Amino acid sequence: MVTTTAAAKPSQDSSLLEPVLSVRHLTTEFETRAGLFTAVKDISFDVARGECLGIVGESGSGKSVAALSIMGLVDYPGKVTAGQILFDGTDIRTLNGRELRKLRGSQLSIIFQDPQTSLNPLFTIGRQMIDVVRAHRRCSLPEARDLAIAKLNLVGMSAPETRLRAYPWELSGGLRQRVAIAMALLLDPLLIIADEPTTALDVSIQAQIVSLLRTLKVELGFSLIFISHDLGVISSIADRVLVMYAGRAVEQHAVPSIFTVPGHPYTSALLASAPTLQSDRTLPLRVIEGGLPQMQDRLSGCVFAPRCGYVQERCLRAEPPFVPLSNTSNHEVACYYPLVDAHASDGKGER
Amino acid sequence: MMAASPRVLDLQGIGKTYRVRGQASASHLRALDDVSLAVDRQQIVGVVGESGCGKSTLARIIIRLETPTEGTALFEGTEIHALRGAELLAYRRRVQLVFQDPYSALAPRMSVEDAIEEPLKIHKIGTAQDRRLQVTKLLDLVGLARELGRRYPHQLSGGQRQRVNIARALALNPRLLLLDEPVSALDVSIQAQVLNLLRDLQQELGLTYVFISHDLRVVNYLCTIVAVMYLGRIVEYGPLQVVFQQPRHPYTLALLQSIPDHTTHSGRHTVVLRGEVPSPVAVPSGCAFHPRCPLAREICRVERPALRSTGPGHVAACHFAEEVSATALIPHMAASTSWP
Amino acid sequence: MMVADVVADNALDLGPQVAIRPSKLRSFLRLNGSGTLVAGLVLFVLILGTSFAAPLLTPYDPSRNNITARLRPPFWDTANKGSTKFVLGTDGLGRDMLARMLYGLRVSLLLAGLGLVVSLVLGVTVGLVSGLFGGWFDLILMRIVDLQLAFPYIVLAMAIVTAIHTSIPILIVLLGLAGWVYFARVVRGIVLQEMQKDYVKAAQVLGASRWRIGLKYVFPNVLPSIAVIATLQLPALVIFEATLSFLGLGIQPPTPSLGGMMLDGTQYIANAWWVITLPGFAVLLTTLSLNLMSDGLRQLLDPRLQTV
Repeated sequence: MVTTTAAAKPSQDSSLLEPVLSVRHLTTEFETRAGLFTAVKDISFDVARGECLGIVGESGSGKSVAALSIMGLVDYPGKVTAGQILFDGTDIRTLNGRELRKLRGSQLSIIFQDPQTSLNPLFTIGRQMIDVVRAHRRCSLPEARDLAIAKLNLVGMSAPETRLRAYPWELSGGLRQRVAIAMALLLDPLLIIADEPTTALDVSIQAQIVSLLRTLKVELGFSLIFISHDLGVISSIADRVLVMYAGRAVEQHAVPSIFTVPGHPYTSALLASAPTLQSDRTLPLRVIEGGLPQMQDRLSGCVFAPRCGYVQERCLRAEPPFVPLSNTSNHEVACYYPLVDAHASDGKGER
Repeated sequence: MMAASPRVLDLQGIGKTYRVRGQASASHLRALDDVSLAVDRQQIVGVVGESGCGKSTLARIIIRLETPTEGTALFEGTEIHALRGAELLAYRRRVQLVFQDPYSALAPRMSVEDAIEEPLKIHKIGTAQDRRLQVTKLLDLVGLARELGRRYPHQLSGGQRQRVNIARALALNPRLLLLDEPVSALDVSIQAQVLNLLRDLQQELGLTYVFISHDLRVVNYLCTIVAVMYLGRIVEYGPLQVVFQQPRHPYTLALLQSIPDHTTHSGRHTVVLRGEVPSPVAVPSGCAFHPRCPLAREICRVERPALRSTGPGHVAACHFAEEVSATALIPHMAASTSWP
Repeated sequence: MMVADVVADNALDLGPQVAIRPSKLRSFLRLNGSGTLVAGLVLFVLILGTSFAAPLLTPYDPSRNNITARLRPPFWDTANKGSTKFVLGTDGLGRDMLARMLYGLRVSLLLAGLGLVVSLVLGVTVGLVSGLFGGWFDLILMRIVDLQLAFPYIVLAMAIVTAIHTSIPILIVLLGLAGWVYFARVVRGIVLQEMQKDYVKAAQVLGASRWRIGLKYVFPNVLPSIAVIATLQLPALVIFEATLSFLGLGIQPPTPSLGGMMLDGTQYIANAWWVITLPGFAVLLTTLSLNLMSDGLRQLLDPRLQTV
């Protein structure tokens, strides 16, 4: 029997306090003609049950590769070369292909940026959704169909029975993304990874989708990793934020504190360079000079040092570790001279 | 040589219809419908809207990559689409366009220097030496190191490519610069660099900008005047501060409310506009926004509202413009996961 | 492949492009572009070289009859009077097979080459003009292309050749007219595609004339495809010429031609297999080398390339 109500109930024997995802020292590398390229280096973070972790970064930050690494979707010439990915207690890296496939789409699902390419244009939506259900569960066609309809209802699609017969290209971007969300929810996942799900959408539709994800997360209790380069969007859905730069994790803290008291110079500079409706037009936007380091330039020391306004000698010698500001702090920063101390950061609103 | 009038661009009643083969039969895509816009010297006019609003079509009409189906487009008093031959070439020297995608706007096999020199060659300006000199000046102007001149587009970063595009557009000393989503494809920190550059250039060179974007935050930073477009029509127009602080069209207000803001965390309480943008093939009757508008009444379905004044220099196309305010709208637009 | 795209996008901001190595399997089978291209090129150069060095490689006159030595088999068949005197045997009139093949290759390649030049120039020009200017040009020219593609060209060629006395220039024109349509079609397609691109629009906005856009911006992007089609057309023309000669309509005897040799050989299939087989094999080798080159080129130039 297939359940139509959705509640991502954690497994009986795991405590609700255990994070649903625990990543430790994850490193992913790619073989290229120019040498070994480290797309993700030594990142560690947790995602608690029912929480949304926002991963923020610009291009080259490695955030998308990190998502793919967690899903086990990194293939030649890339490889996850180090680290532990504990999902609901199991290390994903130890799973074989078959076990991974069982996990993917059911307990762990992903929503991509471009629904145009993540949905198969040759098949109807109904067919694709039913395929997903029957790949993971034994149930009859009508049962799978009912489940698909239930999920489409959940994401707010009108006339879901008719929609099942539609092809992806018949729908607008916003509707396609709703379908993608419905598909991700089909088997009541514990964790959904959303990789820039709203970047390709209009602003008003983006607001709808973000609102939808927020509501569903509360109603159904799943955890969410929301990846974006847009600080505003992240602030509207994430409970905590991980900031990535050039493959490294540079800061991790709760919302809204990370926006009010950023600890890492990159975070601070990023926040200052993003125009908002409240920006002072008379001042030029703060700029981060220079660009991402080129592959051959990556030398020792902090990867952000060449562009950092606060760089000191120590920064050039060895990469700073990603550590909490203090023993009791939840605010982690990879910097020898963080911009705030533990006291200041904890003083402001913690969730 | 002083121009007699400060009016640089005068668009009146511009309409553009495409005939498309849809899934059923041939249908008409109304990309622009009775658009009028006036741009004066040294203004920075922002044109905002979401997909299907026609802003890019408008840019293409101004730059003469398309012809309007109706209406007149005047540049400094002359009808743009009547120009031919040498006059057309002269027009091209005065009005230029910076494209959205920095990479595809550059010919892959042309070096940066060649690309920037190209407009000078086309218009036969100066000797080869003069041109080379001008190219170096332009590289300096946009903040690119001279050595980058020999590189090819695929060897540059996104921000650098966009600077090349800007340099190329400025090579002919245009009076009017159209910018079609010039920073949308760039990372936030690079975007800041380019925005600062655009601002500095405008002040230094006394340029007039028409800045097209879907990102109101960027427009808010750079522009002094804004025109809001929806489904091929201008629904609101006026001084940017006024329009953004006291919008008089429900769509403008909804757009502003949809913008998530990390400084105020207003995103957490975002008012959400319901429904999808209708296709420009099937524009709703009367006011194009009425199916999604929380203030819509019978008259909105029947009669298309004209742009009428709601303050000095501020116009809005809404029958109930005076009623538009956040408090009036929020009860109607409660955040919801479904729509009609 | 999605991951590679992600990395490639990220790599763009890291300065010079970092490309991903081709898959292990492909390298293992050595079917990657450069391997194929080199193989084809080497073979073709060999064939070309030997055919043009024909006078140096064989003492025989390919047209001189030698009835006493007719139908000698290749050298390895010593039981039937095969010897190294006539390395690949002789034909029905006692002419040395190797000599005839070498000279015949020369003739074939020359004809096919000149025909290719004609079809290339004609086809590319038509394609460019058609794509750049559109309108009536495009309509009329493309209908002509359609007509020719629909019609069995070989039949037409046969009719013409039978009506007019065949000669080398006529043959070259016929060969040229055989292949131009493929160039025209593909070049037009690429031109149309390129015209949609932003950088072409940028050039238009800057004031570039149609001709300038066509020659400076679009044409360089057309070249790779032209190269591939040319390498595909050449063997097709070789076979076309051989076919005509086989039907008795191409090169007239005593000038050796591969097709003509095969025609002669039909009568001896039962007792002297080499007379028909060996020239056929020469055609095969030539075609193979050119196809390998074309394949290799295409793989190397992919994805910047639009195939036929």
